[in-house]
Amino acid sequence: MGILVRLFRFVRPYWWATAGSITLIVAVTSLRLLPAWFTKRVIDDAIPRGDGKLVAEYVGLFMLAALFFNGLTALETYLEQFVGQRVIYDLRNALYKHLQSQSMSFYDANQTGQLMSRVTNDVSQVQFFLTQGIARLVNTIATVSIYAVMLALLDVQLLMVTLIVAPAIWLLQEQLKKAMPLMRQVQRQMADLNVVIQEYVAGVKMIQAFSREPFEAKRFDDVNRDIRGNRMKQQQIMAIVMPGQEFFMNVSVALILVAGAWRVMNGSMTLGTLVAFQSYVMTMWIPVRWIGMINQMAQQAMAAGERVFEILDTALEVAEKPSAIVLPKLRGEIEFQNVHFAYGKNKPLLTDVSFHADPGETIAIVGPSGSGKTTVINMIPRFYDVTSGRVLVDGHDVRDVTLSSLRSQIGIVLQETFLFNMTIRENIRYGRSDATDEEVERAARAAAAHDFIMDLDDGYDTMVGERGARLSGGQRQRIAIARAILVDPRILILDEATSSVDTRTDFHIQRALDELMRDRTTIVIAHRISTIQRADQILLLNQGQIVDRGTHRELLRRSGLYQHLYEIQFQLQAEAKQQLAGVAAS
Amino acid sequence: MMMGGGHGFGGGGMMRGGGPGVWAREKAELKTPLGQLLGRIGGVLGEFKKALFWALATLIFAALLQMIPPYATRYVVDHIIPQKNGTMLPAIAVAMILIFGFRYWLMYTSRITVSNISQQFVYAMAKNLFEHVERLSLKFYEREGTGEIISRATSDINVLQQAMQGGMVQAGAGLFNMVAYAIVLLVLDWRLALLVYAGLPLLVGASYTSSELLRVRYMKVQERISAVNGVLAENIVGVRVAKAFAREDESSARFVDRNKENLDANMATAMVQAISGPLIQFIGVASTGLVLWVGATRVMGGSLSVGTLVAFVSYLVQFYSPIDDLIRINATIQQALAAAERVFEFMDERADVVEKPAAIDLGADRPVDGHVTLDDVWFSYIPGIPVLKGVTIDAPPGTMTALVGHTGSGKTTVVNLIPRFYDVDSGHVYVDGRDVKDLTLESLRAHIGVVLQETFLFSTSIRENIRYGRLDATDAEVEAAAREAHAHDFIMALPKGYETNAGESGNLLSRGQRQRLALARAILRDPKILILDEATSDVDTETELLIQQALERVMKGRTVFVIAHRLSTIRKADQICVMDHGELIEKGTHEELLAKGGKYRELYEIQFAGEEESAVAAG
Repeated sequence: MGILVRLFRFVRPYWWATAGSITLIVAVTSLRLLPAWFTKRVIDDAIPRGDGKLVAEYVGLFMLAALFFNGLTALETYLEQFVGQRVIYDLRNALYKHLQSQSMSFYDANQTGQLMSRVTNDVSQVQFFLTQGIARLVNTIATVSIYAVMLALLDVQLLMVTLIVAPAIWLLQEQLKKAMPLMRQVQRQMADLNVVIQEYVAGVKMIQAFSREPFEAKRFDDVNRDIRGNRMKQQQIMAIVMPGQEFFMNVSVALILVAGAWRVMNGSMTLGTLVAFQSYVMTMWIPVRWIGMINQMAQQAMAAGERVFEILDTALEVAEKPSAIVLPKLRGEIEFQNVHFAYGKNKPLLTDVSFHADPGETIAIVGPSGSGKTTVINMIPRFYDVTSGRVLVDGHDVRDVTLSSLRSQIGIVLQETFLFNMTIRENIRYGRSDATDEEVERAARAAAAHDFIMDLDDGYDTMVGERGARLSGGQRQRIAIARAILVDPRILILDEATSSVDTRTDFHIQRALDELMRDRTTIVIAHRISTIQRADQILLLNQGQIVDRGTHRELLRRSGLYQHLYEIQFQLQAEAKQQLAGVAAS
Repeated sequence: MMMGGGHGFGGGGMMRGGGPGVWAREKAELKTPLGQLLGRIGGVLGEFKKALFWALATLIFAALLQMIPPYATRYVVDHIIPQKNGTMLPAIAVAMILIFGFRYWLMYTSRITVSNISQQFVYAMAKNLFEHVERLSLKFYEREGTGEIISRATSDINVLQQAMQGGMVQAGAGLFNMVAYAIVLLVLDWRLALLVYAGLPLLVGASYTSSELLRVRYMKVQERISAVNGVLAENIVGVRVAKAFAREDESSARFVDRNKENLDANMATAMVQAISGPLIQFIGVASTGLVLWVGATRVMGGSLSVGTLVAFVSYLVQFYSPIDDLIRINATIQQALAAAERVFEFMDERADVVEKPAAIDLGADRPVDGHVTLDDVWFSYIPGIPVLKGVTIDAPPGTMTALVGHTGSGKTTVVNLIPRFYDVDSGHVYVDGRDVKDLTLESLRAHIGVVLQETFLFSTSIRENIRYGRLDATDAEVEAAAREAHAHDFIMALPKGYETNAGESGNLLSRGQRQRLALARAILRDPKILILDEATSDVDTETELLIQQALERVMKGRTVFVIAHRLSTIRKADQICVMDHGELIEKGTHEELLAKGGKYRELYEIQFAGEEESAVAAG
């Protein structure tokens, strides 16, 4: 039940509408008694007297009551939806915001489809209960209470007879608890299904290329089949509970009839009372039939709610301290002090990394594949927290400053460019939301992107498609560079990946990047000779450790690993030079 | 570093025109008439005709039994009480309980049957949808986007399931009860019954109108959920960028906007529910009041017994009692119908790359050589904007063809046509002299290996990810392929080796390592035709070299198409095709093209100029 209590906390901001809704339900439930009561008056009072005017009067009142309570029902329905839908809206936003505050390691550990499923499928299950279940529950409780009072006033003994079946109905409800584990499983499997589909869409080209549609169909089918199986089992329980409730209600009606007839014959009860009593009982049972449904919805909401709160309860790994200060405008000094990093208990990705960059310096990181280059740069904007050691920016530990003040002063150009499904202008402006159109254009020019943008039909207003799919790799990258240029950061982090750009633009971009790097502290994962030659310091990384450091010349002289890395690249370029010379000579 | 620039999975031509994205779907409208929609659902349910018939029969019978209490009441009121003879009462009670017990059993069995049918139905809808969507070409995926596809396969299917689980039995039982009581009313007193019937057109009219309104509005709700899903998928994948630019607020705002639209759409349905539900109920209650008035008048006039009036009113209450439920269920059902329409809409999506009924298997009659020919191929992603303009390329078996050209020149599009990801507008693509349109897709693609620029890894083990290339490969074969792709060593260095989950530990793998896994996957497939779409871009030099070495071995005896930027790769090609704005402008070997002094040489020199500058600085 803890889950439901937590859900109700989301209802609190709408307490007035909730209170209004409950009041209305109680009012409507009471008013609903009136038609039956007027019916009783017609039969017991007006007809025996043969008074047609009185009949008309009662019927008129009957109609008036109906009109009134249906009007109130309309209001109540709206209020109940108002609360339910808003609670869901808030819950989804809260869940999303919490998701977004999680560190990168959280995203590494959770599949996209899984996370999506929690925000959509799980919240939808909660929504189903909140918007359809709760009002019915209140309605049921109100109806049963009010009718119980009415019935008690009419005839206490007969009410006792009626309530004989109550324990049996309660026992049936207990059966539904057995369905809870099934529902948990279904919610989990729904997420698995989401993963299959999400991965299919993300990898469709590869899947089709390998003709693996049948394989994916089987993956989908396996989960789909399990879901069907679990739901069938769950329905089996419902098949016992739902008609069971009705059975006991019917039994109570039979008992009332028999016991009531006896009392009427005794003369301890009027016929009209018996008829009214029976009709009240039947009306009372109508909402009670829904209890099984409500219970089922509640169980489902709890199973789903658990998963929602599981995310909300996941502590933030990279969390701002309450005492975090706003980082003042940076000079651009970066220092790593004995930084160690590992994912959980996996083998360390960084071991005792220390280096220092003065404002305006360029530090190039060089190393073989998988040596930890990307991990080093990930530590500066605090995508991950160090396992031990410290990362300092202008002397501030990155863990002591607010994330937004830190990250907004760092410009990052990543190897894999990600664009949002917005216009090109919006994607560039993502770097700084208050940039004017001219500033956006200037940034695009500096990134050698302006010309190709103007070639597009809608220019800067062209939608780029999902993940920028409507643009080529090179075009995407140039937009990412423009985005970073617009930030005008003191610290620039560059994962050099100019190779997916064709040569001419590559050249322009290199110039743009050179311009961008001037006067900024730059940490660059270098793949180009010109970059390493210009760097103030080169860090040679191998297996998570800095194995050597120095300038290009120094390293070339003393490091075998560096020579090896350098030669591979230089050799290719030298050969090209030779060949062109050869062709030109011939 | 030469001539790069492939496309995302869209292909460069998509950029113009800006087709409808996920959030471009603004207008909610019902495209399928209700009857047709119900007919299709009925069609899917048709499979279960017999079980359905049995369940319905049981439900009807159970509904009839539910009419016993008022009948018993009437008997007791009219006969037993006036005669003051209670001896029959215990027998009546026992008989009633027995009948209700029997009814319980009936309801139980019919519920089981109906729920089984519902679950089968939902299962089949999901299965058919997924398997149909699988058959659609890349164009469909580019147009619809992640959010829309995921939503229809999960959210819409879920809504169907909810309606099936929560509503069908209740709605069915409720409707039968109403019909049965309608008959009883007629038998009891036809004049009063006609009075009740007179109100029915109003009831049906109000229900129908509100249902139509609800369905349109629910269509919008489902569309909004798609948009929420779309922005969610995008923001989760792009979270690193949002964090890098400290723009989580912006991403958040985008999410909140979609969420708010979903809320508004939901409130629009709430409005209809709030007005229509009570209105329909009022019609029912008002008609009861009318019956009471007319009936009472007739009792006083002597043409009706009190007992009959009491029974009639009591039956009438029973007659209207399912309405409350039905109104609520109807909302769920209307939402389900809207969802069903969306599901059917995808199922009706015509696959544009379709196998001919007479398609033959490549390699069925003779061994596959891997001879690829493009003959005057024209292609456009958006009609009227050709991306390829009359491209002709002949790649004899075992040769290597390199495609070079600026970003957006159509290189990726060319290689996309070989495994028939798209169909040409005109011209032909032949493999071993057979038009790819005459071949079965599976046999065609079975002989083609593709390594893309962005490696997609599934969230299963590394072993399974490699095995994806050929499902029946043994563990030893998987490892051999990994060795050949220079992936074995780094895999063994991972915490769980080949059992490491590739999806979850995506960050443990560098880009170069992922690339080598993709290569191992292609090697395992052992294809006659190998397509390398920028397979070696964006990796560091050492990895590049490793991949190069692996590739050289792998390329032997295969027809290779390569889109690459590395000179070393391109130079070895048997022919280089220079693409420019969708046209093939130069074709020849490296030496020939350099000597020719055309576009290729221009590209080459620009690159060289860049590298020379570096070299000078290095010197």
